[in-house]
This record gives sequence, structure tokens and C-alpha cells, in this order.
Amino acid sequence: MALRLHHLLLSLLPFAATVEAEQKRPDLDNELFEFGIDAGLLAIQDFNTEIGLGFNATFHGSEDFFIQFNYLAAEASYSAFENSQGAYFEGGDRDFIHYDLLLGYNLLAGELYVSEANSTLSNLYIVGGVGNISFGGEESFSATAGIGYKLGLSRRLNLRLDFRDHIYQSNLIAEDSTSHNMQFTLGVGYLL
Amino acid sequence: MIKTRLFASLALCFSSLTTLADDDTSWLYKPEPLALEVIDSYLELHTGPGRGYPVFNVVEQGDHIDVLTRRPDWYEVRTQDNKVGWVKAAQLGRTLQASGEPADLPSVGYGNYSVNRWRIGMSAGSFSAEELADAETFSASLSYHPWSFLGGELEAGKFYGDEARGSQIAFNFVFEPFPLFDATAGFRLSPALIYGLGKTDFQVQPRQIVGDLESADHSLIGARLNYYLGRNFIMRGEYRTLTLDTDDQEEFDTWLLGFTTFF
Repeated sequence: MALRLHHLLLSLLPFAATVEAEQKRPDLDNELFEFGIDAGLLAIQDFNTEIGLGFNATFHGSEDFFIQFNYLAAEASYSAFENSQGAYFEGGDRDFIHYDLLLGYNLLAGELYVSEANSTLSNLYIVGGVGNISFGGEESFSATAGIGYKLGLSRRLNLRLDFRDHIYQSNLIAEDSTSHNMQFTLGVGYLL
Repeated sequence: MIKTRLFASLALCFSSLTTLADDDTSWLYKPEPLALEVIDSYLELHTGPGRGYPVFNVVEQGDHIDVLTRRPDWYEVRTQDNKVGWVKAAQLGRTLQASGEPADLPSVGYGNYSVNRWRIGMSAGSFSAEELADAETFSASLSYHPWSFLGGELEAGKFYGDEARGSQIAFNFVFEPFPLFDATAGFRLSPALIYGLGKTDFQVQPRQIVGDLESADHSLIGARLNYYLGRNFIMRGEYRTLTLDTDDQEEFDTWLLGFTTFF
């Protein structure tokens, strides 16, 4: 029976060609996606503040809202405690790898006057969402909240400053403790 | 095995239809600007694509403009005297093409929900079964709807339980019979049924016992309710039951709340 249905579906394939395409819209250059890289500081709770590197992809859904995917990685150096008492863990477990899916809201759109005649577009935005943190052998569910400032460098290039907190429940140092990890990064984004 | 083959042929059928329905090749070449005539008493040019950016110029009735770029809710235009600025999509809708017909711009609103074919979504919620109580879960999805009532969705997610953690990928069929259902004026709901096949992977964590949970293929069936928030944003609530393809036929209940955007 299932095999017959399988054959029926395959025989339907040529008929798919007869499905008419919908009416064409005028051709316009859409600028809905933005891709970016960022670098900055990541303060890992119970460890040190490290250099973090990341990339992101943003989909601008409307004038106000956007959806963003972020990836951020840093390597945790030995904390003062570990230097005297020995490391908690070694190797790849010392890589702090985070990714998240955020919903963003453009709060304050405006212009920044670099000089009397030259203005550049700016935007203050807030973000919130969920993601994943892998650190110390743990994979954890994380919540992220943050605020950022965007400045137009050119027509398609944006400079961004982001401050975010990545919160998760960790069993690394103490049982079920809340870990706050602050991110402070500078990045550039390109509108496609 | 038969199940997999059947699913593969369904997916093949679906993908062939979607490629044929899609004739948009605008990414191949730089499009010619679209020329429009202003029929409103005036058109306001803003310095940027947002209501917070000031108006710096006005285009008068009867003047012509070239549309250069589209950003969400806004269009970048060039006037006859070479001034470049941003016009709100709603205002640009009231202009004429060279042929004298009203401008046909790709605007995004409630009526476009069934027409705009690509959707991006994300959701978070709870995932549970006997061994895995109230695990937190989140997922991201990309879907393509060649017709208003049927779409295909690629989904990837993670879940985090006290006992076990892991990840999932799935391909879902989304059947949405009434995409533009308006319960009362302005209260727009659209129910959908989903059916999908995928894979669940359990990963061992420090201080966790995975028990008899093993990575396996899964099938899922669920019901989704979309609520139109505004412009091109949709909020969705969802219930699913997921069956692991193991000897025990382990079942998981999933509740999700999320956002979808279409374009």
C-alpha cells in the first residue's frame, strides 16, 4: 500500500510542471538581511574576562522588529583559584561557546551629527532571547538580554556596540547556581 | 524503511513543486529602478528608513521618482532633481506607474501572509516525557510555502532536561487551511496542523544519567495556532507529540511559544 502511494506520488511529479507561477512583482533591491562580525570582552562568571569573537545574521522583519542569530566564542584562562588549586577542567572544555536566537526592537532611531554638515543614521535597540552555552563540558539553556547601539558607517555598513548578559544554570562550581556572563563587543554589519 | 522512502518521495514531490513555483531570479542581476508618478498632494522624504528620522524634502504632485531600494516598511527613492531619501511604504502605494496603473510594490501586511512564501521562525517552550520532566527547549525554523495552505519547514532545536540533554532536527509539513481567518475584526487567527520526521540525539552531560534514552529517528504530529501581531510578525502557540522510533516507542509532549516573520 505504502509502496503504491510512493509510486503514485512519483507519477505526480511531471504534473507539478503545469503549476503556474504567480504574477511577477517589480524588481527591487531588497535590504532585509544583515551579516556581521564582532569582537570584544566576555566576562565568564567564576573565571576571567576574555577576548570574545563572534558573528551574527539578522533578519529585519519590520521597521521596528528584527530576529538575530549570534555566535560568540572565547577561551577561558585559569582563574586565580585554579592557578593555586589546580584546573577544574582542561582542553576543549575551556572553550566558552555560545549561540542564541534573539528578538530585537529598534527603540530610538535618530541621527548623529559627526560634523555640522555630515549626519549619520543611528539606532538604539534592545534584544532578548534564548540560546545555548557550552562550557566546562556542560551544554546549557541560556537566556540573553541586552542593549545595543548602531551607527551607519556607509550606505550598507553599520558599526555596532553591544552589551549583553547571558544567563544560565550551571553545576560547574556549585550545584544549580545562576551564572551571569557579560558580553561587551564592537562589531560591523553589512546589509545585503 | 518504507516510511522513510514514502517520506522521501513526498519531500521530492514538494521540492519539485516549490522550484517550479519560484520564478524569481532578481538576485541574478541588478534591477532597473522603478519609475513612479506622485498622485498624492505631496510625498515626504525622510533621511532614514524609520518614523524617527526627520523629513528633509517633499516631492510634489505630478513629479516623477525612481524607486531604488526596499527596506522593511520603507523605500529609498530618487527625485527628478537627484535627491535621495526614504518614503514610507504606505505613502508610496498611492503612486502611478509609467503605464498609468497604480504602483504594484511588494508591501508586507496581513493580506500578504498567504502570498509571501518564506518564513523564519523561532520558538521556546517545554519538552517532557516520563524520564525527562519539563525540559526547556528552543528551536529555529525556515519554511517555504508555495501555496497558502501548505508549506515545508526545516527545523533545528535543542532541549535541556535534568536527566538528559540533546538536539533535534526535523522536516515538517505545515497544513494551514485558513491562513487569513479573521475571528472578529482585527483578531486574526490561523490554525495549522504539522507532521514531520526527524532525528533526536541525546548527549551525555557531566552528573547526568541518560538511562535508557537512545538517539533515534522520530516522527511528530502537532497543532499550531498563529496569531497575527502586526505588519509581518506572527506569534504562535503549539502543541506536539513526538514519537521516538525505538523499541519502547517513547512519546514526548512539547509545548512551544514562538514568533514567525514572513517576507
